[in-house]
Amino acid sequence: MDRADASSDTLQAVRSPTALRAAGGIGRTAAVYLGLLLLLLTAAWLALTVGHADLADRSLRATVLSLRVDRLLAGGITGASLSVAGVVVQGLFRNPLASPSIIGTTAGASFGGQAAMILYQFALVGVVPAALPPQLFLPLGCLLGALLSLVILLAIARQHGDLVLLLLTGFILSSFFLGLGNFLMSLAQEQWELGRAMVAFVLGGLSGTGQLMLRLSAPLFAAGVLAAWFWGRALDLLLSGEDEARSLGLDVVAVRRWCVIWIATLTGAAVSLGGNIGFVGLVVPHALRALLGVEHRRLLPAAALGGAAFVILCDVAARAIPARSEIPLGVVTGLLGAPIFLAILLRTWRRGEHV
Amino acid sequence: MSEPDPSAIKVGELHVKLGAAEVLAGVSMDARAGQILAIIGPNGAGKSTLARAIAGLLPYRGRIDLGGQDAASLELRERATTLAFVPQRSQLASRLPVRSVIEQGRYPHRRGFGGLGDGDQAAVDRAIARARVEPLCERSYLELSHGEQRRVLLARALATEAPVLLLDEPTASLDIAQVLSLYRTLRELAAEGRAVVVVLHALDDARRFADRALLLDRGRVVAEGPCAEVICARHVAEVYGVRLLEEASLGYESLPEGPP
Repeated sequence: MDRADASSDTLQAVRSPTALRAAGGIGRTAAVYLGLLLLLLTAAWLALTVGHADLADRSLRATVLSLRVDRLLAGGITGASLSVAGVVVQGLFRNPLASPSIIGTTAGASFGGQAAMILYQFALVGVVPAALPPQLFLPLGCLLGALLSLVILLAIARQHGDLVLLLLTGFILSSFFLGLGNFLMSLAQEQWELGRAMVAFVLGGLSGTGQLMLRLSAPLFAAGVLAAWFWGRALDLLLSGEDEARSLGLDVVAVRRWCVIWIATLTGAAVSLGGNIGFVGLVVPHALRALLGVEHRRLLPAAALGGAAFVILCDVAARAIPARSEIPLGVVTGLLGAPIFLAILLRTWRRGEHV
Repeated sequence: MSEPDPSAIKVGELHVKLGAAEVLAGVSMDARAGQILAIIGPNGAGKSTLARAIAGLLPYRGRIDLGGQDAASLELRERATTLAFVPQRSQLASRLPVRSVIEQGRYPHRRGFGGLGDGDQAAVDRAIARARVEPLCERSYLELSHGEQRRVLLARALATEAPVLLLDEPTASLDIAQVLSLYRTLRELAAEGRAVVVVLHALDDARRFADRALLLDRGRVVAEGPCAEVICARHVAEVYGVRLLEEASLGYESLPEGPP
């Protein structure tokens, strides 16, 4: 009797600090989420007010604001998609250094978008009903390009979780798809309008994003983020590697297949809106993991908020930095992202730590 | 005496190829509920391969029954609730909270995308108590010592509540106090009616802690039976080319006040 009491007391004593700690964890999580929301609101406010046009001019005010709202939404969706895709990529490859741009998925998506533009111009004009807008093919092309790149990557670097193999394969795929993309670009120069459109798309940026593209990308974004959240627990199990996840009852093959589809969906949505933007999916999840831990269901919504805020702020910077013309968005994220990537690389290398 | 077959694992004529090499060439064995079975043999005998094949991680030819059912016909989740496997080296190297790691053992019981129910939490609590990891629950997995990590992984396996427990080299790089504590836990589990199968390097550990032993050499079974019969001078000479000195082993046991 005494013994039983003692053991239930121990259990109680053990549970209460856990409960306390859980409460502390929830408080911390709530604080981080609150901070992210404030950051996003600030970013949105800046995005609506910073720019060359003068909002005091009443005749232009409505037009300018509507353009800026579109641009704000495009930035938010691009950033959130890339950041969430980054978390999924990192979980799938069990590697904090992987991201859609590092492993060549954005390059694949960018190439896919270019291929869709070319294909439409040279093969599909007049074939598809005129009612279908040409922009329809861009997100589809981006998604398929991202998928193609991921499938090649998995075929080469799936096993072992070897960091060098993964990064090198990603680097090679990136170069390969950028090369192919440049080839398509040279083809596109034959037609002036197509050439211009393609240059604008490849450089990346949110200035030319129309409402139609927003409407096409938003469902992809929403589907990808929701799916990533639903697959979060499976990604937690994958942190133990494929064998252990499998012996805990996880269908690893199916999870991998679905995650690849969600990564491609998200990257496709992001690239069709903002072009080839790097480092978002690396920097934002990394910063948030330090604050929230590695559990995916806690991390993913934060990654969406943080990614959106990050890209919107980068876009504001691209507009605000004085230059002859606007600095491409990809340049801003690259300038910020590359040093951070190097810092993480060095630290990871020393510790041998996984996600 | 028409008792049902008590075999928790029954393996018949198992062949496993890794690349071109046939690592297991017709292995048959069974593990019974309530007992600890040690799989022993020299390096390269196929011990870990046998464990991984039973855990469903390798393609094989032959037959593996788990709890009286053909393992090949079991769904992954059914398999995971029938047999829990703790590999020799875990790939887990994440800053996951310890309790979350142990909760992963409830994954095969889940349906859909929902959270843990009360029953799941109770099972996790039991696994935590059984593996004696209460003091670790508030910490992050990555900051634990190797021995503590092993205990957490054992707790995760126990949280599945599978009636069969399979551990590959569980004592590798544990100190003797940790080894004793682990075997005490395994003995409790066996006494509750689970089947415990342990791949082991150390013959003296097998003799001291296991009920039965399966001696493998170059992919074949040399002997199976009670430990004292399997680990005898003749077998050890034949398989390892080493003379067994019965009196020479260094014995140890837990102090009455238990492990520190």
